[in-house]
Amino acid sequence: MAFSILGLLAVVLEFFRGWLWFIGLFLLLDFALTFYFLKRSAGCKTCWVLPAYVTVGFGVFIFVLAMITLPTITKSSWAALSGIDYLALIGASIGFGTLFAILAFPFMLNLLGIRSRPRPTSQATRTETPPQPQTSPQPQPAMAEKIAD
Amino acid sequence: MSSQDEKHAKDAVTRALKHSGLSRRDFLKLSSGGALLAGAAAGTGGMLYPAAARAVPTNARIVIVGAGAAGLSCATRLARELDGADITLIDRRQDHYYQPGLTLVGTGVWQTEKLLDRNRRYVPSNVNWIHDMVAEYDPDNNRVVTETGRAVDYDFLMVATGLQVNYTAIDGMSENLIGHRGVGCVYDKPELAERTWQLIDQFVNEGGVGLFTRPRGDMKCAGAPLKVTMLVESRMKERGTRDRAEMHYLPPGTGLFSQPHTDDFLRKNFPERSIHIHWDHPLKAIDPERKTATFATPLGDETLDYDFIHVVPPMSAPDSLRNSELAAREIPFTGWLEVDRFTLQHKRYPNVFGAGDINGVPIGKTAASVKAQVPVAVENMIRTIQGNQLNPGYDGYTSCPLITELGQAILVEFDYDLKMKPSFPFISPYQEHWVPWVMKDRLLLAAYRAMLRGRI
Repeated sequence: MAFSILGLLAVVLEFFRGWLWFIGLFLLLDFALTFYFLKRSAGCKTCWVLPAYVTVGFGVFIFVLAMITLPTITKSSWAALSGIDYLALIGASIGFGTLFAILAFPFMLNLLGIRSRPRPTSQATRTETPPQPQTSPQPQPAMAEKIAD
Repeated sequence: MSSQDEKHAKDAVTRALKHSGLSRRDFLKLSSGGALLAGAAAGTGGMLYPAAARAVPTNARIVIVGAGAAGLSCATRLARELDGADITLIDRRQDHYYQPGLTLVGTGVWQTEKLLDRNRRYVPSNVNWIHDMVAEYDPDNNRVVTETGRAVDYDFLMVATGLQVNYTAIDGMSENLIGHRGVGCVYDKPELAERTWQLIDQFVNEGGVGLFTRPRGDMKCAGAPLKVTMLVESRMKERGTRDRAEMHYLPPGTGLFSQPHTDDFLRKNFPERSIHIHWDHPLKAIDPERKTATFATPLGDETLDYDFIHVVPPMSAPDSLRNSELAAREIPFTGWLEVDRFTLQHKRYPNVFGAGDINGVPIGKTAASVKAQVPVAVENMIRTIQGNQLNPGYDGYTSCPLITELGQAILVEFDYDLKMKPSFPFISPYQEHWVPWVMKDRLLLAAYRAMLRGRI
């Protein structure tokens, strides 16, 4: 019996039907967090690499967790697996890992994605330059003369 | 339209745009965006309802008898694919059971709640639902009569009644016995499957003699008696009580499964698991007080003691259809709806079609067969309405995720020629795998619901 792609999509829709409200809520939260991050990060130095690394790490964690637990969750065991089952298990675990990583990324962006806060307006309009810390241990000769004067 | 009218229209549009603060260019941009959105929306609908765009206009009166898997699937498809038809569904039942899950409830894998649903969720709004049962078919006058005496005329009839389980065909057996005195049966209703699990649970713990039967003749899900047997054995191994029980499988003939490769597998597998096969043992009578079962063997009646017996009663078309002109009169399909096995059109009444268990066809009393039959039956009814040639599209496809152990199954799919027809070529139909088990346990219920909604 041939299953079309659209037929499979219809089955997936039915599979998640009871959870659609939750998935929708989570996606809304993700969109809101992404929007919030973009708003917060205006004028700030942002960092995408660290959240991306942490998200990938989280995805890998879910992948490993799924690999270990899926047979048991489905009332089966590792002993029951053979041949194509391992590929299916790996495929499903990659799917779970990817899904959770995508869902977690906006959270990670907000937690780890902003490196520095924008300077307050009063600081930006200050005319006085703040005293620079001395970097060299010994004064330059010209400067030493000035001090002697 | 004259050039002057055209100019007036253009001026009016320009004035309206100016009034709303839009330039003509913006207006065109918005229009094309709206068209894209509308197209996308229509496309999404089309994705899930691929045939909606080519609805056939008709004022035909169509009656569908039965609101089971086949009846509901036909109703959703016909309602979508016909424009203006007067569609009536006749069935008293409000509850809908996911029957392929009965085996899982009967062996403690699922809870009963997972099977329960309501027909109301699937009946399309443009279908008239009569809450009654058909008592009489009058195909010569294109009419059915319900149990309350209501006559319903039709131009086209879809028979999708399912079948009836005849408990009383076994002496001493009744539906009320199930769940008592060691008598179990996972067929027919969720509460019976639940009661059966209580007995199986006890049998798995305590052991004893277990008899597993199957009847003569056509039956729905012919794999279920085998699945129950193997799942009980698997449960015993799981709990470490296998040595406490003696297990016997008693088929009515000399085969275990119609598909030869699967039959070979089972012939080897059962003895390896110390499940003794007794060929030619149709169940004839049961004595629940004495806990004995009598089998009509070629050598005469044989009575066996049991602690647990899984009774699978003989099945037939519902009496109302069996006694009607629509029923086949000749062997091997006597009593079933007399349809052409490829087009599913009635052989004598061309405005009558059949879908599901009721059809008198060689194989295919499964939900998987319903999935394959309904599109063909519906298409051919519509072709008849249009006066077109029929499509001999049903090849006998049926499927059985044959559960061999807890956590393992073989996905067996075959056709009238008993040739394997795997939907997913990478899943071997000859070996036990985890993937078909996951499909049975997790995915097929979703596929079933998509089928009821006419999406697959």
